Amino acid sequence: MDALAGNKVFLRIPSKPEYVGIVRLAISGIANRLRFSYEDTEDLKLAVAEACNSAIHHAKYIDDILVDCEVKADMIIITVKDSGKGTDKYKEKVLPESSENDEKMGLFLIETLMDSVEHRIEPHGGLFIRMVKKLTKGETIERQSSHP
Amino acid sequence: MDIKVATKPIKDKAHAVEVQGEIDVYSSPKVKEAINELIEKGNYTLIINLEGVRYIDSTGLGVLIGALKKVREHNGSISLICTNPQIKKIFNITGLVKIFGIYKNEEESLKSLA
Repeated sequence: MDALAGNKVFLRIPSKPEYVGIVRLAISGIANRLRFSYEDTEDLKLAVAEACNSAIHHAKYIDDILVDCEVKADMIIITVKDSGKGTDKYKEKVLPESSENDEKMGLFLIETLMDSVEHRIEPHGGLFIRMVKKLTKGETIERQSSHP
Repeated sequence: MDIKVATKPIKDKAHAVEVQGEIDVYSSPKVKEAINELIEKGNYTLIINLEGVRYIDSTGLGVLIGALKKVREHNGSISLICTNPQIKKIFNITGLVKIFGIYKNEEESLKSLA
């Protein structure tokens, strides 16, 4: 199996609900390779998807969503963000009925399922969510011996 | 990542909604539409079978909560059939386990209506 510790994976998706499933699949693949347990992998998938849902709502369907995964020896750090280019005018035309409560529940799920969460609106207006999930005891990430 | 939603009456007591697939921000409108159609036709006692559901997010939970609010306006109820530990965990940590009856199978959920 490839060693992944120290590696970074970057995903960029259109701000559309149909792409969130693809992010889930990618996160699941990375977590499996890192030997996260089934339960922790499911937690990661849900937390990252909730962050993407929130970013899509914030990006108002016009701004790309960026998902950065940073693999450490004992944890995975995932950042989800948009660049804050969405406009209220577009939001009124395109977004489905209010999902504010879903968003609150989504953030609650992220905070409950992940080990630490940082959540803010950047000065340029973009949403920023950074999540950390640590490997629990018994799980290990293979170190890349050939990596400098 | 397809979602399938099927509905059927059960012994004149309730309507079953069987969902298969992943309920997420993309697929939840389809689930919402199927449930709302039943409610609009006057079916206020629903048993939603989540046994075929592998994943649910906050938008899926929002659909269930919205449906529960609607049927309760008509003194109705929504029971859930769910044995998947990961899905049940989501209901537990959000506290929704306290507002939905969650059962192992259709028979058990029907008994609760008796």
